[in-house]
Amino acid sequence: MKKIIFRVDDRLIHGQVIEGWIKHFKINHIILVNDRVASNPLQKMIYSSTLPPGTEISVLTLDEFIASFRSDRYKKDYVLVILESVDDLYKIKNIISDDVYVNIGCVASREHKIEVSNTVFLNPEEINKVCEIREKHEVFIHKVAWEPSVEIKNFHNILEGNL
Amino acid sequence: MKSLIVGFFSLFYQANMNHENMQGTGFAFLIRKAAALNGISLEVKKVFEQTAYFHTHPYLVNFIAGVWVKEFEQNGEEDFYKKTYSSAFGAFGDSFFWHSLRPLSFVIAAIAGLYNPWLGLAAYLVFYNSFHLIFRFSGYSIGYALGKEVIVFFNRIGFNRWPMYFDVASAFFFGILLSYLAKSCSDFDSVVLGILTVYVLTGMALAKKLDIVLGLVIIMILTGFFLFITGA
Repeated sequence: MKKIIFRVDDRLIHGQVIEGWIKHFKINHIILVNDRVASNPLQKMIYSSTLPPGTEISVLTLDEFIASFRSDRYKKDYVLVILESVDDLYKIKNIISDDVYVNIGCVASREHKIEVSNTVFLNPEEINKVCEIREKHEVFIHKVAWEPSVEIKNFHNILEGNL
Repeated sequence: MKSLIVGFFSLFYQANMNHENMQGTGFAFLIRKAAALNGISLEVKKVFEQTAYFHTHPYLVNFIAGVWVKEFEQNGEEDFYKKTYSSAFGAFGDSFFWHSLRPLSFVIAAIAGLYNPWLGLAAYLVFYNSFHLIFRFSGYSIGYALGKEVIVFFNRIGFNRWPMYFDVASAFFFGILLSYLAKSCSDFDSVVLGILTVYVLTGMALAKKLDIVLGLVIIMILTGFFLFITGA
């Protein structure tokens, strides 16, 4: 597993993230990239409070993250970067490198969304964005670390009803 | 009393769980009951909105119901905090109830079951459900009293540390159980038993710190070596 994990999860920090990623890989640094949470002290406290003791969290806006992220800082220890949506992942696509494991973990079902897996539902616009990211980097659907990951080679097929 | 009634209705909360809206239907059912207890008659549209995707830890959902009703009464942001706390309580609940309380309850049941199998079963049900039901039946009143700042309650009791303490307790009691089993099933003397206990605990520490499979492999090699040396 690569040391830098970018995870799209619209529930941000929840049970699967804690047990399935943070505890599994003994990750002690989480970067939560979300404009809304970064601007709300109560939300920051809520998400910080849920982490296991000893786990450090940085809550950054998208712009702050883009400006400060350097992949060469994370050679030894794991770092988990949590994003809320495919749109957010798309906005930071230019800083994704070969050192980064890009993982779509959980995107809830909403109207007009297509079921990609039992935890990932994307609309056509999001699928097109993932396709664009896929041109340069591998993108996986991976709920928790101990379950197999699925690399969707061609998201366009989903739009035609195929996986 | 309201907390007990909401706690009772929350026992049906997961009846319609599915992977499209997860517990959304259950939350709509629960919030309609909770609001009614506070003299609020929610519009059908508002109740229907609650059937949208929602997922949290079921034992802690009553805290969210309390927050939701309080925020609704104060014209606050009930749906915003519902979403925020759904993730947070999912994190708390999964770590504590699923990954720490269950193993400890199992070990306690196994120890009690050595005396009498029925006692083991009772020990499991009493120990596990005492935590589960206390949170379930007190959640609504605490959530309602503290409102959107209900996280303060969990910080006050240090709830994010509970899984760590329970894991340590599980390891301790599991060590006692294994020691007892080894002692009762063999003719080993106390020195050998002590060595056995130490390396079983070492194996568990390796499993915890490194990897469970690697820990098992290392401890199997040590076991083989030990049996070879002792000629057992």
